[in-house]
Amino acid sequence: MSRLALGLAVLAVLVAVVTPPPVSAAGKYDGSTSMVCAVSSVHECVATGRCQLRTAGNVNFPGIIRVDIKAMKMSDLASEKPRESAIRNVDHANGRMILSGAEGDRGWILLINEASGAMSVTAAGDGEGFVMFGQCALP
Amino acid sequence: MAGRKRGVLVSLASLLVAWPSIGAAQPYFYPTQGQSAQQEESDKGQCYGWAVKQTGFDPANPRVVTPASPPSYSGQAPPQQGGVLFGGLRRMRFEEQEQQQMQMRQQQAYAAQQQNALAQGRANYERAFGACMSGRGYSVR
Repeated sequence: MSRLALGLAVLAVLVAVVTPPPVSAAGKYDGSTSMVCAVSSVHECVATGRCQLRTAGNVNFPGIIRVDIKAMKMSDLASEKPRESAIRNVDHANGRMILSGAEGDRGWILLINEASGAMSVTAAGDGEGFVMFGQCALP
Repeated sequence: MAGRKRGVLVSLASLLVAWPSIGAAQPYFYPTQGQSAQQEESDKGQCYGWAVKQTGFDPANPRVVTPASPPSYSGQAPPQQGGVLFGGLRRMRFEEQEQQQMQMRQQQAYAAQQQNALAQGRANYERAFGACMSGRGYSVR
């Protein structure tokens, strides 16, 4: 093997090692893998403008959910009889992944910061709204 | 030897008594009949046991007998069996809020009651201990 060929081979190996895989070009919380998200605070608001701090348990929402974009669903991790919600839409904007859907008489939006995993959720119904904050982690 | 052990116990007990009431005046004992330091330790040990027996309050293990604590509010809505996540969201009912607030007030009242009972027990113990030491020839101030 000539010196030139050997040099090219070494360069190719170096490029392969140093170049990051394509997936890291996007944020790590971009939905490419399922995530586990914990709800840390819940605010229950009514149309008069009054909001009150709650826990997830107070408003019958799971404290930990799994977000699976590939399966387009979210599920309750803790409950024996799992609760699930179908994700209708997935958008990506400015480093945020925005999921949305509708259930019964409510519509919801769940936003995840693709870099940090910070989660914000709103669920709106007639004269009421729930705002939740939390943090997602990659299993 | 036993007197020394008791003295250590009394010192520890005194520390425990003093801990929650730092700043409160602690009694001093002066041997009016020329008792030695060893005798004083022994007297303190015996008075400690007597005062605990009389008052039912042990400063080395400060507990008081109070009614059972009120149940704590779990804050959990009845779990929904299966179903959906957001459709299952439920506003906390007014009665639940009232119950939560009432139980929080009960818990606070219970804590205050315990605090008062502890302070009362400690005061009784100190009075009894002082009376015992006076009876053994110490001036208590």
